[in-house]
Amino acid sequence: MPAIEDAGDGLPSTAEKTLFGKYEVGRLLGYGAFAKVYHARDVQTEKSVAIKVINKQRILKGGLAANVKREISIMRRLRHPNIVRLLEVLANKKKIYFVLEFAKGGELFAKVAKSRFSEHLSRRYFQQLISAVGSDGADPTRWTPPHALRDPCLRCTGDFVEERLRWCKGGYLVLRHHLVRPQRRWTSPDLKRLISRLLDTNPQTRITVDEIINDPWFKIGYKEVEFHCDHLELKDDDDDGDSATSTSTGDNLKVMNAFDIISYSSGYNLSRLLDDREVGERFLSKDSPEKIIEKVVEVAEGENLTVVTRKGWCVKVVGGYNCNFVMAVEIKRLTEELVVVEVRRIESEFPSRDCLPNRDSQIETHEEATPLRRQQSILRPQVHPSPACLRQRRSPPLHSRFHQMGKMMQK
Amino acid sequence: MPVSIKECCCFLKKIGNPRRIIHFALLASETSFSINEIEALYDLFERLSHAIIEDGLIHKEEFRLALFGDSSTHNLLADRLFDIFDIKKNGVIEFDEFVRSLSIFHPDAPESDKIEFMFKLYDLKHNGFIERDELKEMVLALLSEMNVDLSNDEVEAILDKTILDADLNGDGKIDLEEWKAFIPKYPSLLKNMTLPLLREITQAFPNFVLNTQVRDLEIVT
Repeated sequence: MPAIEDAGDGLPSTAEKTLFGKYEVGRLLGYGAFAKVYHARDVQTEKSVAIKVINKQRILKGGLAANVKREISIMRRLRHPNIVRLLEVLANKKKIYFVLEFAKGGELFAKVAKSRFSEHLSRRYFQQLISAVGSDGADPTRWTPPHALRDPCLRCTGDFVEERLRWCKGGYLVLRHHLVRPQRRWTSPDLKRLISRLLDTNPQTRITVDEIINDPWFKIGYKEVEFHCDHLELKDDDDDGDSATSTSTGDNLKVMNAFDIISYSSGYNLSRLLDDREVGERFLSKDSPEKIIEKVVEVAEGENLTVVTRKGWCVKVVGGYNCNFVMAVEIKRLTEELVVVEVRRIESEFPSRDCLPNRDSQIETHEEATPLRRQQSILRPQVHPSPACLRQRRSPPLHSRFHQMGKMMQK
Repeated sequence: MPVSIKECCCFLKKIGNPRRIIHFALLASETSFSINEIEALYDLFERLSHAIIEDGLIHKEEFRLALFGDSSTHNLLADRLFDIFDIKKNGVIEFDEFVRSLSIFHPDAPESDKIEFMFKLYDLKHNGFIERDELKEMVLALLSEMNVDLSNDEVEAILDKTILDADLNGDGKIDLEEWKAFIPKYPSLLKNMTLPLLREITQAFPNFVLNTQVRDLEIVT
């Protein structure tokens, strides 16, 4: 085990212990070649966080500046219960700080090193890995290594790039050496078969993530994790006390006043300045709200989407590959005859394989491509069905179906 | 030895701009943002302000381009927002103005600031009142934006109801005090005034991590 030799890498002095006046930095949790991870406490909320401190000089020397930025943009998009979330990025001249969600449990590697798992436990961990791997859209077909994993029991502060490089070097990481290393006594034939397909050295014939998910051994007890998306909140989900809006039509629908109407203006939605992922549209309908909700649920179910919230005249549905499609529908009354149906949706754009780091010189060329793409998307908000979504369903993108529905109801 | 402009720029980039960090620190002390967040916003500002005219100022066309993907889209509220962002009233949004105005949209910004900002936005004639004809103009603008055809009677009925609800002293128009009393009855109206994404601004525009001017041990509030 290498010693923690370089104090300049971390947060040694007591003066520095309150980072940016926001986080009280505690004990060291782990370290790697470029970073150290500390436990810390958010001074305001008193919540535990993990802070990854990256030494900028080393990053620059190693030519990894682009990777750090890429790691930020990838982690920002990843929303998965099995992956720690990036909460904030801070930086000064010498260091970069990633403030991460703190997950108890420790690293998988430490667990693996300690003891062998039963087949059952191996399956559970493996399912979590696959679930997280699938969601990053990292490799559309072949099974690829995990990164930044967590669980009630697993924590990985792992560096996305490092992890991937390690993988590329040919290590089958966890799985080959440890995770499903069978107990010597007996290995089920199903598992034997799965392992041999995972270890297939030919990437063309190696098992795909989709095939893993459908594998009989893997499938046992596997539940697709519930997706949490905190971007798309139902506007009227809270008790905002708009009781004064009660209605004459008896359906309890919120009646819009003149200012509600004005606030629908797309010119008053500044989130477009910052981000273009949320797309919304509104249309009028003469149908009863019951009928509209019914229709939404019907279309959603036809598309294999799940209704997660249904409250009053608001419906929220999720679906798509790894639930990267989230949509909220809300209805309000405009006049005695007309209601306004507001549809907002997000299709997460998980990074496609071409913005992922590779060992070779590709890194440099991508470095130029990424900011440009970002810039374009800022200036021209558009919906692109995510690659992951297209991959999974050959049918037209979901939003077009809903658009048609809007047209239908408008009549 | 002659030095090219390009080399000169490179050099300036390398040493950083000592004045800029002081400027940012000042902005940070006066808004809801930290210095890092202001650096990230600067990145965004640079993109917006160089979209059409490369002068580091946001022109109305660039503001429209960012909002609608089209620099010629006319929109009453977008144009109003631009005018309010343009604090100095010189026809462009400077970085200072951009940060100070966006700060009001921060989730942590005081609600009273948001309420006053909205009042300014809706007071089209800047006479200290939201008058019925101003309200009507905005409602009609939105209805036409949405391609909605309502009869004049229907529009008038909506206006009647809203004015009746908000106008406490019965003078037919809404003043700031009445506005402050009206908003708490309809808190959902405030939602346009909060951009949750501002909390994530450092992740959305992470370029600053490499060239930040924040010194070690700097206390950043």
